[in-house]
Amino acid sequence: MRDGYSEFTRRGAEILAIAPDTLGNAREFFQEHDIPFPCLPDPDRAVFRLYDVKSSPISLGQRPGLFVVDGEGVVRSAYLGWQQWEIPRVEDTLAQLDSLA
Amino acid sequence: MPVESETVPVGAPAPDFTLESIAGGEVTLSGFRGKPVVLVFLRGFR
Repeated sequence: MRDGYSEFTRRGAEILAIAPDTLGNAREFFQEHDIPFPCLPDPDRAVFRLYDVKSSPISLGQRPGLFVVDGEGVVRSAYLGWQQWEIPRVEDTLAQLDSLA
Repeated sequence: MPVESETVPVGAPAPDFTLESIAGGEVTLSGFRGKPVVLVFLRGFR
């Protein structure tokens, strides 16, 4: 997702990464890996709960989730994976953004 | 298999929230009105 970031900004879209961790840990990780998009730590997981991105024993902790929200604030794609690798491919998410345009 | 969110289905208004950014300052989802936003919920860093 990091390498495709310019593809998102080129489409006028923004990526917000929400992390179930502290501000300090998130900042350290994003700086270390030079990740260009904004990260919003959610140590209390309040926004995780708001979006039903629960943790689950079978995914060994926090499940990944990906939502596409259009310019009117309407959810156009809502996706919860069970495993870390079960997140939509960058190409699929870009295609989704193209379909909104 | 991936599943849909039970509380935030497709077609529903995205629940608004405000969180502090690692870059400093607060970020509110509704502040991006007019442009699409991809929300990525991470699993954590370790």
